[in-house]
Amino acid sequence: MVNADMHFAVAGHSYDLTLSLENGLYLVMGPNGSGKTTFLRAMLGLYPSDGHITLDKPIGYVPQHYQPLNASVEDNLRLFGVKSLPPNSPLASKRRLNAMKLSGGEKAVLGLTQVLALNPKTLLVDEITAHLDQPSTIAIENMLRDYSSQAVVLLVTHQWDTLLRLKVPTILFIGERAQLLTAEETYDNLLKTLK
Amino acid sequence: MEITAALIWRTLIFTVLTTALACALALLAGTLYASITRRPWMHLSFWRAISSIPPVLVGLLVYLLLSHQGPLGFLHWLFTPKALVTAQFLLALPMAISLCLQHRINLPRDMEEFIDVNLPAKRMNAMLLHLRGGLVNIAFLTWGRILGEVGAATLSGGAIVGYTSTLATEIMYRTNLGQFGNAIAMGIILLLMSLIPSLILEVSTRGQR
Repeated sequence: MVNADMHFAVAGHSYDLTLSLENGLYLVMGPNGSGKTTFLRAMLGLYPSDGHITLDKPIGYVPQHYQPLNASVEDNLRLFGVKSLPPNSPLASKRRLNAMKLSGGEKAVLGLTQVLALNPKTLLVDEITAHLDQPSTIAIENMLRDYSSQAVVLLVTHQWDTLLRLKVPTILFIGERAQLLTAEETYDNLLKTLK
Repeated sequence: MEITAALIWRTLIFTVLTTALACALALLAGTLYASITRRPWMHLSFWRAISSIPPVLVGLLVYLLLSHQGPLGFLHWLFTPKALVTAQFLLALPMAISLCLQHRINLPRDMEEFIDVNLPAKRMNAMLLHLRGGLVNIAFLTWGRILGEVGAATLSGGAIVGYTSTLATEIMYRTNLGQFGNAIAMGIILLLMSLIPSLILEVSTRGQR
């Protein structure tokens, strides 16, 4: 569960947000610079905010600019206690490779694999699909959707096709407002920004 | 003492062993320090400034500490290999710490937060893994700082031929005796030793590129 009654300000915007989220996957959307990343950081206590936030623990977090540590994939996995990988994991054949040499999609999978090994009850993922191709993006989305049966998962994205594929409730940051909307309401609101 | 092949080998091996030991101890301290500290940028300026301390002053400090009237005189380490390694360690330490801190700062803020949120109990392990990636580079740079050093080695170890003499102090000794051929020969050995790490670094970084 995630319960929040919070207020935070960023880049000239000021947001009041009240949330009560059950296990499941939620998107966080909005234009660039609207405060999506800051919202996640405020939830984690990494950015100042007022009010109260309750997150089930353990908490998992994959930041926007996730980079593995400059060591082998194996070392990066071992740090998080990952002993075995599913056979279809793109990392399975690359455990001895330096993790910095992985592709963008593989790095995103590595970051998620590390964090999922902690069995987080709250998982916050910030735009890790931003620079990925469609198959990699869908693979990440599927990983998160599968996991969301046992945790509250928040995925920051500005990709509309992710919203159309997943059709999940979304916290939308537009103008001075941040609100939890259905997928359809979110899509309608995003369309209005084009006019 | 006449120079012999055995003496050159002894001096060479002694130099490698003492500098490697001092360097290893400094790296151990540097990595632990950089792993533990929360705000590395606040410490970096201090350690970077201390890195440029004249070696002869480090030698003087060790001499004063270990001399019979000094606070550590009871150890009877002065003019022994232990005093030499102590001086080399103190000389290498600020550089090892500042280079480790610099490498630590290169970790992006997002990754600092990734570790803080996900691995609060294993934060030090994560930082050590991060630092390990730059350790070879840091080790060679630190080693280079103490390898050819004369002032601190002479004041602390005494530069006793066949006992605490290093290649660098031996070059100075042979030059003072007018044995320029021997001094040049040892100089070439020292030069090769200082170049080998650079070559290894070059080859390894080319591999990474």
